[in-house]
Amino acid sequence: MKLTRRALLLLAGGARILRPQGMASRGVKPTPRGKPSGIPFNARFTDVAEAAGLRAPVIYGGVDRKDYILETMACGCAFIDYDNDGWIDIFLLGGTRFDSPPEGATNRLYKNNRDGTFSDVTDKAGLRRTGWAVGVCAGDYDNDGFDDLFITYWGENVLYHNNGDGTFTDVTKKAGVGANRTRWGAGCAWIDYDRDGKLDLFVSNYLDFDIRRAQKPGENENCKFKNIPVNCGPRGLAPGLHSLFHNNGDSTFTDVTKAAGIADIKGHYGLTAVTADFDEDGWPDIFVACDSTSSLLLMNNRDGTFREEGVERGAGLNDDGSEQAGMGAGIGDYNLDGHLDIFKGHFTDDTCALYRNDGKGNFSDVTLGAGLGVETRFTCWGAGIVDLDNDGNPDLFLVSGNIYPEIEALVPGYPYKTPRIVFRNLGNGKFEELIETAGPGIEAPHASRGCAFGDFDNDGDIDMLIVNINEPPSLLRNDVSGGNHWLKVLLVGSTSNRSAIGASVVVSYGGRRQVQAVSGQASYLSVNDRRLHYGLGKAASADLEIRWPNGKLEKIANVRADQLVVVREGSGVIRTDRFEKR
Amino acid sequence: MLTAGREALERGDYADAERLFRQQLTKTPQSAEALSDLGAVLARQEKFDEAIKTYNRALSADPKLTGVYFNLGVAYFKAGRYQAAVTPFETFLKSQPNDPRTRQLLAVSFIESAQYQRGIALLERLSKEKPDDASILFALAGAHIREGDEERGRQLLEQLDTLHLPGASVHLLQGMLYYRGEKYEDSEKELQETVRLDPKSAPALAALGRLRLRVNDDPAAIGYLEKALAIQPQDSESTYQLGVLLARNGQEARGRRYLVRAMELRANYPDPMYFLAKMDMNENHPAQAVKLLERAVQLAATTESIRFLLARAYKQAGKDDLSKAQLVEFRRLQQERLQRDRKAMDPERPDPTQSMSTDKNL
Repeated sequence: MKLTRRALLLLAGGARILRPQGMASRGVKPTPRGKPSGIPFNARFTDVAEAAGLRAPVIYGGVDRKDYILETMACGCAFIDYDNDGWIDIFLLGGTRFDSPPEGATNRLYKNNRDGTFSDVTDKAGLRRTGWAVGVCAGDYDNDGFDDLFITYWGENVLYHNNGDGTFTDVTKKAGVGANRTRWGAGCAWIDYDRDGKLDLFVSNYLDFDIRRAQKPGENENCKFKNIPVNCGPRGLAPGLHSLFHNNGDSTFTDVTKAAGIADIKGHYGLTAVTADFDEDGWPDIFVACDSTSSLLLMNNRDGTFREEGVERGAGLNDDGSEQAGMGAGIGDYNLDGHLDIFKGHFTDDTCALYRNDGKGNFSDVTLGAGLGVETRFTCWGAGIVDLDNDGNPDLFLVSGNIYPEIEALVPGYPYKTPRIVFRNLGNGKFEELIETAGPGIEAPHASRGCAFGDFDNDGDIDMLIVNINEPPSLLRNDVSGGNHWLKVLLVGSTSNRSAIGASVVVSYGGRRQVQAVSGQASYLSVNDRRLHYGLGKAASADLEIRWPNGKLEKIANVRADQLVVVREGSGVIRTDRFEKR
Repeated sequence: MLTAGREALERGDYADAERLFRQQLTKTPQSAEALSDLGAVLARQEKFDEAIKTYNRALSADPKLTGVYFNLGVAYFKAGRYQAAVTPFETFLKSQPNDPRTRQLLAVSFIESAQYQRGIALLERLSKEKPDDASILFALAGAHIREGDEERGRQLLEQLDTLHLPGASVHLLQGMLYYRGEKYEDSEKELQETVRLDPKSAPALAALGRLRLRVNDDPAAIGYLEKALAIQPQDSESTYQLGVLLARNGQEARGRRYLVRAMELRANYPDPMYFLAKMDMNENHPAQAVKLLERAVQLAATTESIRFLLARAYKQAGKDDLSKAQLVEFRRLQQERLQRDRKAMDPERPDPTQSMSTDKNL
């Protein structure tokens, strides 16, 4: 018997069609790797979490299998100086399990003991709470001098007021920022969108997820990965709707979702929310990294409303017009042109995305040209544009981890626990991937999610706090060598909101110019150290141009390197700290 | 005019046939026959989206044209819309319940839309009727493997050996099956064996090229595709893939030549147009990109990526209004797809973006 041409056609049917699956992935293969640059990388990361006392696991859903998408997405974390002692503390979100919540399933606050260790002060602070926590944002909404915490949940979101004495009070109901029903709150960001000096609140919602109606693994094409039954979604599930709350100035908020035009934005699986003035018109905008749908760029109309222009401005999709699984996003100035670019992580079999800003809020996807197409193996979450080796060129950092623990035994090449990724900036618009050469903390595999960037040991570099699902977190201590200089800038608003969220600082050093912004949330549903950190390379001093949230410009010339400068709006530098060992 | 059109179709002059059918439709716009013929010529030119619309119009004009249901099913099938192909095939089978070709296409449509049990049941019946049909056995084996019953799949593959197919054919089929199941090592073994038995097997060499491409071995992929094309230079898909590979490995000029050749081989092939347009845009030649993409969008009107790139090309060319119009269409397509996904997941659930539920389910 001979095979006919028609028979062969039948056999080959659909070979070129990508099979549906729950998460957006283009099935792309990595681009070829170039030759290693051979330039030494002077940052080295070691996981010191255990020695630092961060030993409690972050409980989140099943360990070996996850029946619902809720169990996979997990949560963020924060570097926050809740007691204003100049040492950043740690706040870790946590989840629970469907069968029965294990003991210790709670969010946790750890106080920095200033000696490389932390103490769990969760109970003392009044922050013990079990539930499916998702995102966190920190900001001083009542301008009383202490950063408050807003936490999103699958369930009801919570606003904790920082009492300034080491304790917090749940003021959700009083403040009017609860939903009074189950929603899947995800990203949140404090933002003074009307520039009245008080922080308002934006909340993105991921899914409208009803556990009673949720399909089981394998029940639908969106419940499969590589033809293996896995938890369903997000594709095929109903997207959440986002919210905006206006701060009334009396510790209460008004829901202005509809009036601000946010209610019109439908059909996006919203996650991390990052606020900054992307078009440099003096008014803060909002970028929302969205999963498997186009990401959102909400441009501020300066009249209390927003218009969504993610696709039009080039930051919503990749350059093929494909949605990507945008979970986390970092902002920074990778090419030192004084404009805020966006870096976003994505699902396995896809590249991350780097969007270059032209300064008017128009973005170009420069991922492949920047050399980032070499890595497509991992699912990436926490993301940042941060100068890890203080050479003055911001690097890119991602944490990763698969979402299907069931598949690694069945499909080779899709491990559940995967390493962290450093893309070191070569200074010519291109990046070089480093995993094995950036220290044991980078190559160690985990199923990671949230990630916060900050300097927990005040030694002049960027460390990382990372959420690992059903494991203790990682605390990556950075030990930088090579003698590069650095500068930290902490802004304190006076007429602007006290946290200075929405401010940006352009630092000029050694002929280079770099902008950073104080944002309401970043990475993956997380909060970075509010002290902006600049590597200065060999420059021993720098000039600062501060754009405050109310639009005012303040310049400070010839600031010495290797110190923290605290700048109060309108008063210049009010304090410096060289972090000398005490 | 219809007769002249059919004659043109018969001799392969699709442009003339299309012109004649359209001319007829200006006179009798509701002629189901003319619409059906126009659908057929559009399908021959692989303009499946347009063919589907035209067949549907023909059926609205005359729902009793049972043959059109078959053609509509095939158009959906070839466009990769397997779920949509099911209903027209089932409708056609009501009038011709034993037609083996339609039953087999329906079975494959079930399998491709993950309705494995229905597809397997149909193929089992077909296999009993035609136990020597290798394509049925093979599709059945593939369905079992994709459903997770590897053991049964392997048994059926062994059964293929008893059909006394030429050895190379069996290995080629097994290699293709493993490839589809993403079992690349097994696939490579089978395909290498095919090439050992038949060194001139262009399909095996091309499949090996695609396989090396999957595992990021670009130099080997280029080598295999070059060999395949030396044997079968008319293979438009391999020509396109080689063009892309060369372009992404620093041989832009050579890659461009292969991409142009792929377009010459298959005039209605949007993929090389898209890739060439991207190259043009990177080299800041938006006008050239616009030309290619305007052609591509005619061929694949519902392909979102082409609409998106065309919007960008218009923008780069300074045609902001045209860019905005493309983005509007792009967003519409996106929303339609998302709604389809939602319906597939939970058809009875009202759209919660219109009215949110208020119950607590913690």
